[in-house]
Amino acid sequence: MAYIAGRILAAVPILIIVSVFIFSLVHIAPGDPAVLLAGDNATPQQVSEIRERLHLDEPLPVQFGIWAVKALQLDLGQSIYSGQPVTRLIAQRVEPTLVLGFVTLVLTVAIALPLGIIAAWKANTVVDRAIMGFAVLGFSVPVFAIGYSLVYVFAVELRWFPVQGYKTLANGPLETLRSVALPAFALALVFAALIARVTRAAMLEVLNENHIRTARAKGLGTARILIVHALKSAGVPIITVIGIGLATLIGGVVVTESVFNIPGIGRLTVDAITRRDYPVVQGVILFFSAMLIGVNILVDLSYALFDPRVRG
Amino acid sequence: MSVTAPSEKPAAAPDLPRARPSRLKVFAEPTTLISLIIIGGFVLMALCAPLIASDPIAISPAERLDGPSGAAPLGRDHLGRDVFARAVYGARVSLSVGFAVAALTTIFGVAIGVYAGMSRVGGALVMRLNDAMMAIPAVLLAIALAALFRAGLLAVIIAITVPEVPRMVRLVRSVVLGVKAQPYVTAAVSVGTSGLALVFRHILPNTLGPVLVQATYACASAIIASAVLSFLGVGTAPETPSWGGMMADARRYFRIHPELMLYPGILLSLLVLAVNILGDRLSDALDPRKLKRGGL
Amino acid sequence: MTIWARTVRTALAAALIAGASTATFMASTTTAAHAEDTLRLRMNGDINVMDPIATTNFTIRNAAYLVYDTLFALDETYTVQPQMAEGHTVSDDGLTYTITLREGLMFHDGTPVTAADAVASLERWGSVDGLGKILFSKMDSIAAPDDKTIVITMAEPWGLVLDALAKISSNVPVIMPKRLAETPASEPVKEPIGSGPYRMVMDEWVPGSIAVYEKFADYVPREEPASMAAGGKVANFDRVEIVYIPDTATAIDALIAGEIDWIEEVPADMAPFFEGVDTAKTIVAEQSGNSMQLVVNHLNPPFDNPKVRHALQLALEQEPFLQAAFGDATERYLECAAVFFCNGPYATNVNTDRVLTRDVASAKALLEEAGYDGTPVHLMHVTDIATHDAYYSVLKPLLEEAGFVVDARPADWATVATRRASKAAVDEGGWNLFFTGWGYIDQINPMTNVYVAGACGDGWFGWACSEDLQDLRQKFAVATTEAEKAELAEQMQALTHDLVSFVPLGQTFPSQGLSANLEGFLESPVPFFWNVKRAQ
Repeated sequence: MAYIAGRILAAVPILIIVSVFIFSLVHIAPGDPAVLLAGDNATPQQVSEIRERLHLDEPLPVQFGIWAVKALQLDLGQSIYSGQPVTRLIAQRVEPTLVLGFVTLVLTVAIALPLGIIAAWKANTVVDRAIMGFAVLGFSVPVFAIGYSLVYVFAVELRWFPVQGYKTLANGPLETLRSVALPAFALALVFAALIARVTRAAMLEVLNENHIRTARAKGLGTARILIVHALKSAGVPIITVIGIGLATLIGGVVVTESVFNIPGIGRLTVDAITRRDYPVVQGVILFFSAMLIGVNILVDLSYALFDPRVRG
Repeated sequence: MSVTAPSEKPAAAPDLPRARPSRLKVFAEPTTLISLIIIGGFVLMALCAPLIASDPIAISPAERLDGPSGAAPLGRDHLGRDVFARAVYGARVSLSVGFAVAALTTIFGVAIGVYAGMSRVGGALVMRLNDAMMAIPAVLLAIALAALFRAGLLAVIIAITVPEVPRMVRLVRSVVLGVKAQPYVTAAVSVGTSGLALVFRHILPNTLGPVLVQATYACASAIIASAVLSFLGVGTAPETPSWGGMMADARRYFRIHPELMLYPGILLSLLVLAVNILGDRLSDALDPRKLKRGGL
Repeated sequence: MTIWARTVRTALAAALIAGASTATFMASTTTAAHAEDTLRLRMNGDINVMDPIATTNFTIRNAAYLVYDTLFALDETYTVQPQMAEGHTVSDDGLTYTITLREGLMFHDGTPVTAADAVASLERWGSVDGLGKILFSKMDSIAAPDDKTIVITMAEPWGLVLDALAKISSNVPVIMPKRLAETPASEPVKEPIGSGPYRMVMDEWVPGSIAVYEKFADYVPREEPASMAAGGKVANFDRVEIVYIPDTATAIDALIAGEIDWIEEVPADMAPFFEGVDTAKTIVAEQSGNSMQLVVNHLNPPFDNPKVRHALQLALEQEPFLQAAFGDATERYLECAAVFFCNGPYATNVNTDRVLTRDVASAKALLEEAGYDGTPVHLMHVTDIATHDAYYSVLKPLLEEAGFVVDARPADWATVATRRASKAAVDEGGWNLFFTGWGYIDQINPMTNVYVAGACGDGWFGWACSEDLQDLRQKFAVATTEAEKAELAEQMQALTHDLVSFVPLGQTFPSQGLSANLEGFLESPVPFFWNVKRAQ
């Protein structure tokens, strides 16, 4: 328990630094949010009123203080673009991103684990080379190019899946799955390339260890050795990479959501950045960072499950 | 964007004496050679662009989306620009971004990483900041940096470098910590070798391998990242010939002219593939720790 | 063969079969779920505000017609007809207009529409709209003596009172509850409450993605058949969704796949997408289309200098722009520098040579004379409207050839539409140039054409300033004969091009994309979605 608490406490200063960094970044970037917020037909007086209302005339540290106090009360301000609370905008868009991320993760593991295991088992053969070749190729092709190709074949030509958009779970999980199938697959190809490599490496390492040799000597079947013994020991590095890969995944989600017109947090971020919608940029990046830190804590905790040595 | 281990463990001590000649064998392997030849080819193409291609920016609306012709061997894009010329010149953006990001990441990453490894108090502080930077998803940070500041090649390079540096810092620091724990280094310290001498005599040479590998991966992911930035409309200026920009333009016509996305896509993937394979071979040969990496 | 290999093989085969059958199963459920009672629309932009008074943005205007109603409306012969009004009378001296509201008008918040609501709404509109400002400047008073009656008393006779109230395009004089109409016009209203055929569902609104409208049960359409903005607005769909799909190609694919029903604009070079397709089609907007313009900010250097503006005008010509946007589809465009359109009632060639003829040498000379120091000219470049990319790519080399330095900053249309209001210097969020388009109906009328106002800081974006233009417009407003009006319009055009209030880039006839199973679309310069239904 102390370990868990420690990990969570350690996240606090990181989040603070992230906030300061993002806050400074958007505030030193050129462009006056007050002018943007004032909108069409605003008089200079209205602009200065807005500036005052948003405390934009205060020194940066004071502004940050005001923002941080509100942020602690879960008030991330209002979007310049739509006038809506940032928290509402994020809340509206959590579902598509989470569903897309989850389906991608499942697909990734389904593709990557078998490939990695086979490559390790057939190490240094043609099979291994082919799989690893696929893996390198997987992260050498931009995800949006994969995305458009998938749309062309499976949505435009074959009509198996929708071309764009996201159907909420309220429409039934099947519709939802259909709407995220292509983007999740595009992402999974890239992500699986990464996981397959790590799985192979981890498996190879484990296969050379003593207890596996013992198991072999005892005459256990290859399948059993690979799946029961080796995979269990290789679990830790694999989970670690799935956890870290999340950062990569988030980057991929941002791009795929644009390709497939999925109204998730990724697209919200890109839109907010190109629109210079500062409150949203701040809020969303903070959200992603918190999520990333949270997942890393979870990953650390899951070591305990796979690796009893950590528990002690 | 590449990925490294989450929690910092000191690296396994490099057990090989440095500059062992056998390491150079890596350059004799066929895959390495092929990669190098491909990369060299692209460099040549970028350098000789004015000799082999016409003006990549000149528009010719009357000939828009025309098929291949003598003047434009790969046809023309939606503004009547020569696709071949844009593809050839596009190598310049990709290569400059790749090399510049790799170089800048190495310079800043090694400098900060060595400092973080050598200084106890300052190091802890640097590593806190580093952790925070790594908590921001790299692609988002790059998009934000590229979009919030003036669009251009330099902005793109900086935007991609900033999230890349913390990974290098972490890597270098762990190597430094590993080396510092070596008996011969502690011995050197005990006989009064100065910190600076220590860095140059023992530490920097040991970081060389892992850093080179990481820089290669950074180069590959930077090339992809710059394409992503162009794709999202925050990369280099729209008229600048870049493969990412060409693909972004071509998506509108993907259905009727898929080749417009295919050409730059194949070139980009080929280059990134070559760089990645080179990274893998270097990693096999130079880095005992077998870096974990990821891509976009 | 080892046991392991067999296991792997079986597993792989099972996975393949499972995957394939899932895909087939999912494929079999396609389109069946496409609800027949929802109309899905893709406008050129996104819905970020719901107030057609706070912005002239056409996307917001189009959406506003779902939610809001107007007192009067134009029918397809461009004649004013009552809409929310039952009727009106004009006093013998032509100064007093008495308008009565028809029975059964209800706002979406459940309150009845009263004359006081209408008065407050018109006052708000009159504080920002060009034509509205003129109306109110000639007005003595506007009052609501009872719940059903609006009385407008003019200070001087003016023939365009009803035309103003029936204005079809931005800003449309929509009626909203008084409590909302009291919001300053510069601030978008927070609640989209109107008395139109559809009600906006705020809970389902996701800015940047979707805006949802539901049929308003208490709306009572007029009995007359629908005719442009006039007549009965019969809502045949229970639900209308305005879906924002930034990428035009994706939107067209979605239309063909039946995921959406209508696209506001199909770029000419994407017409081949529809070849051999029977689920969707394109229709050319027959209501004389749009004109494209390059808008010039007169406040910021270098274009605060008339010589530099003249150089800009000379540096450009229309043909390459039109070709870039429309390619070989010559039937879809017209080279035209007439301020009031080449096929409008006030079409004239006066002073158009300087616009239509490119003269780089003179442009360079003018720049030198003006002492242009190479300050980059800041273009707000719109990325989510296909033609803008084409226009930009033409603009840049043309300007550079003449000696300008161009700096483009990409953003989506909603952002540009917001940012163009900034009068600040370029490095403080301001701008120099942007592309936009206006419709036939907005531009043919010297009273509504924003570029001939010369209204300085009070005018539309760009803030071109000319007292002579203001005088001409005043004269036009009271001119009685067509000959007199034509003469005044000619002078306005000459002055506008001297001033370089904007650079016209030609007239275009864009086409809309439409699901093949829809019928009942109304001929109109503004897209309306009542009367539309799905063919059985």
